[in-house]
Amino acid sequence: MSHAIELEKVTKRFGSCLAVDSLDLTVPEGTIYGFIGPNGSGKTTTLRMILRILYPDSGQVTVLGCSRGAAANDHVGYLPEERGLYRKMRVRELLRFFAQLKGMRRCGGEIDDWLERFDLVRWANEKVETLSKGMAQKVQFIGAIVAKPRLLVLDEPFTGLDPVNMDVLRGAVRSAHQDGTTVIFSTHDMDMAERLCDTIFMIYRGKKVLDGTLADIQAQFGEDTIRLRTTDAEASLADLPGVTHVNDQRHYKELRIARDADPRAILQELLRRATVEHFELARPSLHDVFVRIAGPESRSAEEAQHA
Amino acid sequence: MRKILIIAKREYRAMVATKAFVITLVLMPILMGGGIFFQERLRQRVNLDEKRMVVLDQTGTLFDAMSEAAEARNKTAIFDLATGAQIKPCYRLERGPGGKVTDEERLELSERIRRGEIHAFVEIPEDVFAISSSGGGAKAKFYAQNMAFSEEKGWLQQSLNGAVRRHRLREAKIDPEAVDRASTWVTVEGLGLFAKSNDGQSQPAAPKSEKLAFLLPFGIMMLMFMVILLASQPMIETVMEERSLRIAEVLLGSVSPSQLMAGKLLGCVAGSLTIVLAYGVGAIALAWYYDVLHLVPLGIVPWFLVYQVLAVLLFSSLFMAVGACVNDRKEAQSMLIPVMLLIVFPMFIWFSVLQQPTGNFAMWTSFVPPATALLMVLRLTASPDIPLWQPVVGVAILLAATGLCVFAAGRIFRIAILSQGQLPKLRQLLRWIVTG
Repeated sequence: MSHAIELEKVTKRFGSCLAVDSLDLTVPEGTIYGFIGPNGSGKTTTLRMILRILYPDSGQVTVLGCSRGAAANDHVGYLPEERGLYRKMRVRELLRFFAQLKGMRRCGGEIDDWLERFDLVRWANEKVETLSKGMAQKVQFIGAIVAKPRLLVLDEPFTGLDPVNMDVLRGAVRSAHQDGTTVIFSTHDMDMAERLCDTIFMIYRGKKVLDGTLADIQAQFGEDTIRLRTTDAEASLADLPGVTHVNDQRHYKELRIARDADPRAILQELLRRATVEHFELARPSLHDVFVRIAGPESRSAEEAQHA
Repeated sequence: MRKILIIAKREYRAMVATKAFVITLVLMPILMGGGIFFQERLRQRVNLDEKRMVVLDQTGTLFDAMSEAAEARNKTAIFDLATGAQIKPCYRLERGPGGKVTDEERLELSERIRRGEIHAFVEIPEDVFAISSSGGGAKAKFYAQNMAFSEEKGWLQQSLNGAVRRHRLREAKIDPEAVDRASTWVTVEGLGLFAKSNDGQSQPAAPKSEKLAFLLPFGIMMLMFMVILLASQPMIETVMEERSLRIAEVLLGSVSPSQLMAGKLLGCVAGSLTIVLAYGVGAIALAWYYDVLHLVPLGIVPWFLVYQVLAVLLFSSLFMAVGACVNDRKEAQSMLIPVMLLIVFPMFIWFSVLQQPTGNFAMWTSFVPPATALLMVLRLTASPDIPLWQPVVGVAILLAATGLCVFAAGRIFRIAILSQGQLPKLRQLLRWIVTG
């Protein structure tokens, strides 16, 4: 399988701030790759280097086989985190402008198809400033995909969308993927990343901390999570033997257990305290993995280590 | 190149296809021309109420002559020759008490002025005919509420001097009428220089009124000034929008910063040429309508276009750099001041340049890049005798300055357009320019 993106020892600094630190990453063609990481971890900088908006201080960025210049950019669609649309332009005119910048000469049919698909036909000749946030987001998405890119980079594409539009957009991403487009999308929505991505990459403080399929990532942590629902919501769980962390998910609770803990002993103790409706030994969710890596617990552990 | 043209086309449409552009296009000459028109109208709108002035003639011999002069003026000089309408107030002189004037009399007359009964009063001293050993004359005193800009004072001075001169001439046994005839005024008419015609013959310059000789260069310079402002200034808004709404990020995902900047500048130049076309066609139509088309210096059109394109590029790139650095209009205002000063700099010195367009001052100032375009066009329109090497050197200097500005602005633009936060300091801007 050829690679859509290859980053080799890529480093980028802004003054004294090391935004990306010797990053290696390979994104195979035809995959949906999720970029996750806390705010300020280097996600957007990495995406901008892939798009040749920024250039690395050292290392090499190869996109669709091109390692120099912006030759690949015509085949890369980009949806930025904050919407970038000219307010005074009309929707169709703006989409034609974006398509032409990607080298498309005849794009009227494509634009019409996408407008219809996103239920925006009657807004085609309206100015962007008259659109709602959700509609503007859909227009921005069409702008990114209309030129049939081989690589689609989506930075937080689902922010601010209602569930209906979210489904529409998700469907469009899947459809582009089925047509062979490689999709990279950065998100803070872990559920969405779990549902949509083949592979997940996490960057934290400029360094790669996760890279693999969800199953691979979960396997790194093992079955150390108990999902639990009891009749007594107030029952004390933190002092259960082997339980290291309790996460209240409102309708159920997630217990993280130590590697040597015995789940059966925990269940027996639980049954003494409350009526158990649901007890499931599971791998950690992506959300949990994210929090374990970048949450306050990890930060205080790191600080203690440094101290 | 294709992407540059696509950006240029969008930029051009964003500039030209707006109501604001059309309104400004129409309003700009109206406001500028209107200013001159209203000033002229206001100048013509004078108070036609009769103006009474008291003459305190201590000689006892001048009042009658002055009063006659006032009556003569009232019969002819206050009417428009063409329409016969009264355009100036008539003057009536009132004989005041003779002999030495006391402060009480002065106060009483001042009170009359305050009450609006009279307009002014003048004291003519007894020794008004005397000439001092140094050759100076005596002084009369004029009292009025506004003695600084008083037309009446000027007229009184003239008529008093006329009467005094006549008196002195009669004393010297010289016929005043003969002196008047001998003093008949000779006017000097301003004309352009002779030149060789196409068939080698000497040919006079086209007749041009002195007013036109002043207005034409000024008008053409103002046209260029308007074009620069109209075409360059919107650049701040569009770059600010691209920066704040993160449009630049999308664009830079498709084109390089240099392509983006080149496209924007090209669009700007195209917009400026549209403005020139609109105003140029309008001006030529007006010239044709008033049958003064032969006076329009069509020979400077190529120079005008070259200078205008370079000036628009220079100032657009500066505006672009400003737009890329600022977060909002308030921040833009502070950074705009130095750029605007560069644009309006020729406005401070254009009059001196126009007085002597071939002089050293005019030449050297027209080689200072921010002013080169406006001043060189002003000079070329004012005088056909500017040596060819001067506009050529001007173009070379402006070309170099424009190249430097576009280069520096490009470096600022490509860094600033993606950054957010505080307004960059001058030191930071210089570092961006130097290190890229």
